[in-house]
Amino acid sequence: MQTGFRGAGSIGFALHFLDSPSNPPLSLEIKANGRITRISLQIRRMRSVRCREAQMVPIGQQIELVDAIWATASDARWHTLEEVAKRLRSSYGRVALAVNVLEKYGFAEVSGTSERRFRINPGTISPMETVYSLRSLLHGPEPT
Amino acid sequence: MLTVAHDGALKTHIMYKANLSHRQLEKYLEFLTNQGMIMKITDEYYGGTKYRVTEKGIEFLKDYARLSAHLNGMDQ
Repeated sequence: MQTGFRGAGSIGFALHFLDSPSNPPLSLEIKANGRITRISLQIRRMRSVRCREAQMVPIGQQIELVDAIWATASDARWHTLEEVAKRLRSSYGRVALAVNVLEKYGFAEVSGTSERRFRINPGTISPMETVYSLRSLLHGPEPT
Repeated sequence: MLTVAHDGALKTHIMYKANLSHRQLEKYLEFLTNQGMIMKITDEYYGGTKYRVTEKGIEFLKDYARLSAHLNGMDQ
């Protein structure tokens, strides 16, 4: 886990907790480089998490499904849309829409005809990080 | 601030604005350049490389916002 990140590690980490069969905790502590970061999570409809940590995402910023898919499938393995939809407790249609965007912009590779499957391309950054980077270039840094 | 987009931004400028380490910045720039969302330009006045958001980068921001709004709308 790195410090100073804005989403990738943290999103995946949070989602793994959401994915666990036990009740997810309301707060997490991450120790990195001798520094403890405390994160509080607010679960909304089982798919969204609010991260209250200034260095990760701005307070109140909701993690989008497309980022949740990216984080869930960023293990370089092939995943079916059904599998990811089930894992994120979302629908096939929603995941399919998000994966189309991920494919269009080079985040993911899609394969299969009867059963669509996809994998996140290595070396990609998360869609949210991409948004932050592009916005930083256009408008300056995100408010914290 | 939009002047930055037209003229491009230096690596150090992006690093400061996006609050990224040098290692992170290199990874981000490589991905964004490879995907055509930003482009390298040579600033003849300063003699250095700058980065500018391309039309595809703008299109991604719009698609991301549209997708987000659409998916949130499906929740209702």
